Amino acid sequence: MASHFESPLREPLVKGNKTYKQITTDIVRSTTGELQNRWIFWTTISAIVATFGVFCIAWEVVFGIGSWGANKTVGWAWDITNFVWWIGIGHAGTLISAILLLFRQKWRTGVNRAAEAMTIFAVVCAGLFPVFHMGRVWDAMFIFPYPNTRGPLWVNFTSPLLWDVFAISTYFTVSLLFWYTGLVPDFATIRDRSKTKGRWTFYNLLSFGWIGSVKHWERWESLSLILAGLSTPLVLSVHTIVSFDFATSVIPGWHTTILPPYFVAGAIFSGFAMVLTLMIVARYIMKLEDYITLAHIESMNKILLLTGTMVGIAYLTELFTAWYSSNQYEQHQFATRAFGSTYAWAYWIMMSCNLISPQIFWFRKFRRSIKVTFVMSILVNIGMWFERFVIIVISLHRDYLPSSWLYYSPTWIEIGIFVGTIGIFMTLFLAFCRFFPVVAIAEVKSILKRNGSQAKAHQLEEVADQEVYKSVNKEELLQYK
Amino acid sequence: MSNKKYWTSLDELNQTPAYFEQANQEFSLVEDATESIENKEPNRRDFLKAMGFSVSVAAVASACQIPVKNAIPYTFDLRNQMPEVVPGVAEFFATTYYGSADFNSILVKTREGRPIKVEGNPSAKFFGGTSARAQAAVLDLYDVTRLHNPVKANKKIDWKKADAEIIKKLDELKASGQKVVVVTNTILSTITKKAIEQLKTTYANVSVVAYDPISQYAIRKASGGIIPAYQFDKADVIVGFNCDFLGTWMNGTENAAKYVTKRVPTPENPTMSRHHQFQSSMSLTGASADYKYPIKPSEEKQVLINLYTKLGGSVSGAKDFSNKELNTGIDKVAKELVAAKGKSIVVSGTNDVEIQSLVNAINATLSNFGATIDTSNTLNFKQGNDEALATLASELKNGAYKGIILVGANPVYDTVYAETFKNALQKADLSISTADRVDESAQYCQYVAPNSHLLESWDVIEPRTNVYGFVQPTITALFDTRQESASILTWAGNVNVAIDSLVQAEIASVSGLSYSEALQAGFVDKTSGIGASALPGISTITTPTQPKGMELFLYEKVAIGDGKLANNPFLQEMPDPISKATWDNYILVPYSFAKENKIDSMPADKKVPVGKITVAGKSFELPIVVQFGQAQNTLAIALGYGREKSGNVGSGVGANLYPILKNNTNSVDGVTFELTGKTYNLGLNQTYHTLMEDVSLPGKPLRYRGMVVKETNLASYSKSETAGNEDREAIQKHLVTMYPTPKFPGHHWGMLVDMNACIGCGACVVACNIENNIPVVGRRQVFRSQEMHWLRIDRYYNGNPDNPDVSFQPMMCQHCDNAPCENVCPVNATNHSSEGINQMAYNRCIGTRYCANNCPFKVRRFNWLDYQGNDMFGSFNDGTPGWGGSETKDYMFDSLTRMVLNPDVVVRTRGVIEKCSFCTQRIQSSKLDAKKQNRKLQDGDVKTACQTACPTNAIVFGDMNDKNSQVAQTLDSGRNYFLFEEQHFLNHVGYQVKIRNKDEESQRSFFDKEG
Repeated sequence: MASHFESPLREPLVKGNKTYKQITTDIVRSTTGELQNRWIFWTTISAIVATFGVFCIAWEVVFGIGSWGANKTVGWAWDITNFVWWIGIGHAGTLISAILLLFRQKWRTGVNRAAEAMTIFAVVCAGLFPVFHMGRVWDAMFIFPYPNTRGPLWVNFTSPLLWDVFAISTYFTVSLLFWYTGLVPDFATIRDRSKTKGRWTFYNLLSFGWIGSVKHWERWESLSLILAGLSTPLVLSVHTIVSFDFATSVIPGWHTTILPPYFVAGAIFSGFAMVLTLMIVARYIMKLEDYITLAHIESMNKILLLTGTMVGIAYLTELFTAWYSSNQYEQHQFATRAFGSTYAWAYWIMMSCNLISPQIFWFRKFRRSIKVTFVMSILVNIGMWFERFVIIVISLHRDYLPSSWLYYSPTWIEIGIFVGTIGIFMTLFLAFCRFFPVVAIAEVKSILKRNGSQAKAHQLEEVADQEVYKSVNKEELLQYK
Repeated sequence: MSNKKYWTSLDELNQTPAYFEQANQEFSLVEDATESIENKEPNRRDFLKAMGFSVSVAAVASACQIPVKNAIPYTFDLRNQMPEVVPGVAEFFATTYYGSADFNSILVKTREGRPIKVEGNPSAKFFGGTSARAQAAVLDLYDVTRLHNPVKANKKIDWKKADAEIIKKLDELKASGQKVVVVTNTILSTITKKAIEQLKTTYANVSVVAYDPISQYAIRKASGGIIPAYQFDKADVIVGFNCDFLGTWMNGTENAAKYVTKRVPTPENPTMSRHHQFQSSMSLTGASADYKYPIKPSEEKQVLINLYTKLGGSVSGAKDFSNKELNTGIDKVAKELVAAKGKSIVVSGTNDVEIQSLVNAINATLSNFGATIDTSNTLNFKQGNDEALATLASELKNGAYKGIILVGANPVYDTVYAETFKNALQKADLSISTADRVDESAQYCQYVAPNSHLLESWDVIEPRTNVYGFVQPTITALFDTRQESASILTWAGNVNVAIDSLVQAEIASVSGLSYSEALQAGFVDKTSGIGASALPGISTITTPTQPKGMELFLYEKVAIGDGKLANNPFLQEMPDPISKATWDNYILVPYSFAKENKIDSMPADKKVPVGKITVAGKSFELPIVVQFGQAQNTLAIALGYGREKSGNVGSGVGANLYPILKNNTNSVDGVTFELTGKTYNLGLNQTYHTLMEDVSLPGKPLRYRGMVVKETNLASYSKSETAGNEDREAIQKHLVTMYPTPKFPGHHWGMLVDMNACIGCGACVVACNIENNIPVVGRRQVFRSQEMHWLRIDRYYNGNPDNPDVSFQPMMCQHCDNAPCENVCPVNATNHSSEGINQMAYNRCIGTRYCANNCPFKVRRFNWLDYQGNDMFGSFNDGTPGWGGSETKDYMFDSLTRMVLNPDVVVRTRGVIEKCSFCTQRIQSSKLDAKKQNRKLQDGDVKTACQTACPTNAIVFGDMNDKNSQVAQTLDSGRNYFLFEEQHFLNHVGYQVKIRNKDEESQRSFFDKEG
């Protein structure tokens, strides 16, 4: 009967028997303001939170880092914890768009656009912390190697913080380009459906006058592949370099060679958790259940299980290394982490959220449960935040000299800045949902599996609704289906 | 092809040598050009160019308003007017710092006429060390609370008018036969004493009462009116009873300097004195002792009776304690004292006549008088008479005195008779105070005749018979103040007294030297021999009474003392050497008591519980600090706090315990204690886990504690020079690296700290603060661990927490040659000098704090807020960084206080890291001096601020490349070790193994015993 056979065992990647036109309609819908009320509500809340964050940052810049709880022993606390957390979250987007593209994982098309957007916004939030944790943020440009009249005085190329500057700015640039490249044909689609001149001009500008010629498509495909190739090593390098901030130091608990792979696995782990959180919310708000399906969620849950276990193994390896190395400082550090009276609770939150709880995803039932997945994604986000807190604060608060051992607790300004970045992130994400196509229209269409009979049936349904055929018996028409 | 040759000149054509020379010169044209400028007279065009430029520059410059900044107001030709003052070159003046229990011969460093730093006077030997109080004295000079002029009823008055009115009143009182009393504290000044005598001669109705807030009257009473001078450099066995003779008792600096001469064994002479300390709470002195015996204040007399009996003295009432350790301790002490007859000292700081006569009797039995205790060159400290004070108080109640003159005394604050004095002052016909501020007593006086600061005064100080310190002004009086001796002399009838010539005559007469020689020396010691006169024997010794309930031990803190110095922010912020707390007084509770009451002995977050004690109907709510080594069932609280009128720094800090100081004894019984359930944010400088146990494995010592503090006992040291430091050889053998070791061909600066010589007094901490313009941050910031001290003294305990051993470890930047901080700075703001100094370029620092994180010693300090110059923060004790904080407990926010800043050291801005620089400004200036004198830099030319401040010479600094330097020689000693040497930081601050004169090896940790 059908010319194209699709295995009934494999779930379709797009559900609801969509036609190409329906896909366009469904996805462009959000950019036309059809879902305005929900959007205004959530954006207002996010913007208020973001404003509070900006206020806290302003407070810190005006009055000094002394408004934070950081102290003579714990010089980095929530600032760098948040930085590493956000950077980690920013990993899933590139992984989905680049590595999964190279591996021909077709399911990625449903979520890659939003995941890439999330990456960009997460890196924006992450970038705020290294800038505003500086005591003299007004001299932040000192960190760039630019020709100057002071000698010239160059930056210190042995400092991992400098490597961070390069790694993160490169990552941000490539991710942004990649994301935007994908958006170009979709902007053209929105432009073509726009009803006002202004809207047309706006999206025409964004789409660089895309006309969908074969040449355009051909170049677009090549560029996507090149950028995918460029981003792939970046997925590994960014968090590796972030981990060097710690790995190259002398502080017990930081000074370990396992940190790079451990950080990369952790980043993917937290990134996917954040993608899940956002997707579950977005598919509900934007009514995208047909495009972001349970199959997507299940796939991502499998990745969570894998990376969570990898991270867990890293935790256990650290303990083993401390014991096996006979390094007394290292042993003391890890004993403090796990059993110390000050922050052991943070360690166990990390352990239970990151290593223990993802193990429920061995069960298909939980992998396919929206509720369980949502709770789990939040837990992993919390767990991964604590992982960074454990590494940074616990290692610092009791290092070599017992005389300097101290406790750290944050002030409302530090908390406010963190909460504020969540607000900034959500505001940007919601703006993206409102004005940009949330799902990659062109790419989703490429994976739509349709055969002749399906198309014909669909056409007939549409025809039956038309005025001209009102007189004809509908049942009669549909018998050809 | 043509063979034509082109030529540019005849020279070229002829190929003359001149041509070749010119043609080979690359820049011949340029040279020509410069020559023409140099040689030629300016022509018309040049003139027009220059005119055009300067006119336009002048036009532009005059168009912009350039703010005028007043720097040094030397508007006249300085070299002619004051040839000795060279801008940029420091002047040193020999003078004296003194208090009722302190005496330091000092050199005051002035820059452009401003005193900015106190240094020890090296020629004064044992008197030439400094204490934290002496170091902080310069800041008192610039105290904004000081009165700017004499005051009558809170209104400004001029001296002439005030004097006339006072003299008129005095005459009236004399005529009507009314009595006038002069109330003083201890007066060490011979000038003031003479002035008071003269007042008494002029006015027969004047009598004098001297008292001390913290009294030692019992010693004088038991010793026939004298306080003998204890010579700790002559004693092999020292037994102290609640006597903080290295710190707050009296004459701490001289005692410490002498004490240490017998505390540092060398391989050639592996001996040291043995020090036993019976104490109710851990004191600075107790921390240095070899054996410590925690006793309740009420037990002291019994201990002395037992000891005296054991030494063969005839006294009744000897009774063994139920505490067996104490009994064996007394046996041991008795045995050692007998063995060291004539070479021992027994000393008590308890203000109790019977105790002091027992002490004298014991010393007499041991033939110490004339050997280790000098009865002829006696101490002049603590001249207060408790009985006279009590009599005065009862007479004042009856209204016996119509005139009260307070000379340096503040009885409304620091006596139990506060109410009596307050009423008497208000009712008196004439009441005068010479306080330099309107203090608790002066506020009730009709006249306040403000005394000048000692750095503005002329004086002769006699701390010990035949020992004189001279005081000369280092600056003209900042305000319209007059030193108290001049005031008194004026009132005694010597109008227009010239105090300077008076003092100059006195200096010449007492010193036996020429006036200028004496003034330059600043100090004469004319003592000879040791007096051995017998002191009065024991009268009756009553049986010790049983105390009721808990006992409260009242002590004095090393920094603040009796409360006079409460307005000095450096002293307020100096961590107490023992408790490491700043800015407050608190209830010290023993460890056993804390365990019983479930008080967290080590609150990680510094939120300490608040306790309430009630004694004699008075209640005090104070934070609780657990003190290891404190006697059971005994609480301890520091006096000198709770000032109400000390000024914007000290007022309202802590609670005033003087109202319960009955009979001036340092303890009371019948104290009830309860926990309030509240917590207090205490400014602790060093918090928890100073016992160095493994936090994760309770019951085990911290595994690497031996890498931090190394210690041994004398017996082991006399066997092997490397005792306690045995692992160093193995560590050094394993220091293998594939990287080249840094080389320092010129100087290579290093520092060594002798942990045996260090008594933990904190003078170096304050010296470092002042030398390096280190900001004071306030209690709130210390609570948040955002203090700025570049140099700190780490205090560690080990052994039994009820009676632990104490180690002090001064900790500053270790100047690692392989510094972890240097390679992590993204902007190269910290780097290594060619002389091995880890340096900071503040201007380059952007404040990532990465270096501070990566410092294994945590000595890098971050400027969290704008400490010096931003008045946005208001108060640093109560204000939050941000909007709010309205109180002005500020420091450095006014131009007067900023005068104390050292112009050689940059004042750091907010947001940069700073740390110990090895006093790089001193190194630089010494180098320049040597260069000017055309010689090599010698060992001892450069001395860091901490080094010169140290009364016990525990800190040595110098060039490690100079084989003859003290540093290089000690570097190879068996005692020397570097912290975490196996980590290969190549740090260059070495520590000498702590040696205790104990028979047994010190316990590694108390958990060895318990766990």
